[in-house]
Amino acid sequence: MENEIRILTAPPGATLQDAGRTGWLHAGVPPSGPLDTTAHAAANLAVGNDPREAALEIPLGELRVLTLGSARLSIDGEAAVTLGSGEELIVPACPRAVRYLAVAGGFTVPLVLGSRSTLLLAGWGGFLGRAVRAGDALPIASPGEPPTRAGAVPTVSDPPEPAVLRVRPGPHLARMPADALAELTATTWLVSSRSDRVGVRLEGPAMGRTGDDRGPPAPMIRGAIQITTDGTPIVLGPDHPVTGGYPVLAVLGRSSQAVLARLRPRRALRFVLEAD
Amino acid sequence: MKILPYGDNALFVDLEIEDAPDRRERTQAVGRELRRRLASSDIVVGAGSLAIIGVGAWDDLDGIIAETLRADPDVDFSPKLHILRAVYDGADLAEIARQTGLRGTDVVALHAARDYDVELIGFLPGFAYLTSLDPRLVIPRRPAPRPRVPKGSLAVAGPYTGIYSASSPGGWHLIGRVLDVELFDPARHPPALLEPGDRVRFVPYRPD
Repeated sequence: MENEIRILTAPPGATLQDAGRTGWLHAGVPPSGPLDTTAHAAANLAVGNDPREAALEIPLGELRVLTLGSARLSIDGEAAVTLGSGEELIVPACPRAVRYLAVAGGFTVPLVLGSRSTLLLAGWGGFLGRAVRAGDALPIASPGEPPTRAGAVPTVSDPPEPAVLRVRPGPHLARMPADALAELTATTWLVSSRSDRVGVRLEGPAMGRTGDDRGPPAPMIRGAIQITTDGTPIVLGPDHPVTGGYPVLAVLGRSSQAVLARLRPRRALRFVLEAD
Repeated sequence: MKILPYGDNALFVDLEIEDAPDRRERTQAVGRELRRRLASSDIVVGAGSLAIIGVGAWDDLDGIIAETLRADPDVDFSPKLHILRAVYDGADLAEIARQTGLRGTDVVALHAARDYDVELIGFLPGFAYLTSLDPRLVIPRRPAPRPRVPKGSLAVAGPYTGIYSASSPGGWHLIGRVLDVELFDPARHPPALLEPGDRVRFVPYRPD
């Protein structure tokens, strides 16, 4: 019998993610991959996996699983636990917005365009192209193979209140008022509950806009901070559209993307400009 | 031309040709040249802009782009023509007619009368921004996007027409739908049916 992890309960939007799908932006395919790259890598390293292996990304709520066949698991890089067949594990909700459950050997779902990451909007990748739910049986590698890697496991810290995120100026400063960057960095923003893997919306005073609010489609990247017509900043996430028409005022640094991913709705954050 | 850092590990190239009549050809020529020189990098083509992903700095970039922009853009490039069957029964056909002052049958006739060029791929996997729409059909996006536009929907917005390659929220006006075409299939090589520079013709079809 194949080893499996059976889902007993899962919050909405729990998906399998490996380190992401590189090299397909030109075909309209976003990079996907974990919201919190550090916690994802930590969970994998704690069970002896390559840090890029597929793990279960669990947003905002509790997840319960049952193992069929024994399995060695870690949550966010915490000390690995070995479960016998039929044993349950609870991944409790925590102050951070997203957690990762890794299993030694990894989840053995098929590669799609070189990656095991789920792309919800397209309905492919990961486990059947969708979020996992109660009753799903996720295939995992057989146990007993020695760890492929024994690296130091990074610590996943809870961001301070307000969290401080580093940004660089974006490519569309000329389409925004002259003081737009100063306005962005002077404001304390709140994470909106209308956020997902496509983007995190921020709540605060409406940003000033000038002229045409939408330009012709321009290439987008993860971390780009778009300012919408009504002055709302949206920080693009791993499943972002690869082009967009709103101006990009600033771009979040890579390490700050993981910090943003840890903030639950209503958490506060500030941006600081990174010196070149 | 402006070359700007784009986050930690990418470059944004603004060709500053937004209003040029040959914007599409010139941007694509630069895209092809960058891909040829940097096969390992992901080059995203926008409308008069490009992004080079995975490259934080590139000393010769200005020169390469300037040279490409000066050259004849269409040397050794032959676009593909895709002929797609379209059923013109979109939910917004009456609204498009109202906003353009045309009859519904004229909207359809104008839309099906010309071949379109794929300016760029974006928004969704395999979604092609098709130009140039007849100027009489150019209307702004819907004021509020629909929460779900079905896959295969044929739509117009601003100077573009396009086909939803996956079901998704969307703010374009629905003019119809295409039949028997998978715009993106991750198991196919290449997965995206349409590529920048390709041409698309819609043939009206009435299902019985």
